[in-house]
Amino acid sequence: MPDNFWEENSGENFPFQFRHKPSTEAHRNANWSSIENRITGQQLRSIYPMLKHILIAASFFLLVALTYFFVNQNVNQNLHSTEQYAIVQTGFGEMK
Amino acid sequence: MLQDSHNNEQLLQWWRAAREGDVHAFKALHHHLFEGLYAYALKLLDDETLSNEAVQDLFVKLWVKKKSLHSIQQVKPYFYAALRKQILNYFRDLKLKNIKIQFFQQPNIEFSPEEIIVKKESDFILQQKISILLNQLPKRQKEVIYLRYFENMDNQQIAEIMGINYQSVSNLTQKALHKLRDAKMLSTLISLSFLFQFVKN
Repeated sequence: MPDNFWEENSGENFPFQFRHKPSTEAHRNANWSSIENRITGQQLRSIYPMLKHILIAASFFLLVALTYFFVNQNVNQNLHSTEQYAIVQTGFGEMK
Repeated sequence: MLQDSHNNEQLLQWWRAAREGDVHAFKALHHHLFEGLYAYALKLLDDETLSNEAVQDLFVKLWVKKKSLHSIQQVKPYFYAALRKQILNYFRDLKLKNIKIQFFQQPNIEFSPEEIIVKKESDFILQQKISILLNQLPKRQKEVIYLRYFENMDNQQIAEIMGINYQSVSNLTQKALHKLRDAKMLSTLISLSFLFQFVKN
């Protein structure tokens, strides 16, 4: 063994190599699958706030539309009732 | 070294594509770096499940934050540094939760004889002696040796990963090699070295 065998900062003279504990392809693929699932989950979760806003807005418009519809219907019904009442009270001739 | 720069070019291409949202490029990046990252995490955490999760967390975080990350020049050291930081944060969180952990400031890498290759692979005693020798080194020196000789990183890359300057890496390597050279085991190693030819890098 040469004197400078353990020469500082020289990897070339290192007297042995290291090896990793081998990880199988199945292990690597399983790890990636989990990452992929989490990424997909993250993407869906990132859409949630937007979906929430859309849902709130849609609910609001639905509420307004339903309110308008029922109020309108009620008014028509009331008008109709009033007309009938007027017909009963005054007779056809005076309705004109 | 040429191979390293070629690899880095390829990794950079994948990384740039991944930042644009190309999941296939991100997968290629994962497949290329997984073995090393997992082994490094396993060295730092000494737990297979946690190491798996650490690598997963790293890739998920990088994917989520891909747009806001700065451009990088060296992909491999960047991933190693991010993984190391993440593991240290994990230990910090455990400490905040008052969970007792064995180490915090500095991960303690342990070398096992099976990881050490000598020409005469059947020489388990020699492998064992070398691993004992390496495990006697201080934690930071062990990590430098690991990154340098397991992962074939240069001083600049190790400095980036460990968050220390170039000179510190150089000093740590020198000290580690001095210690290995001066160790009592060396005489045995020298006598046994005639029995095998060293494996070239």
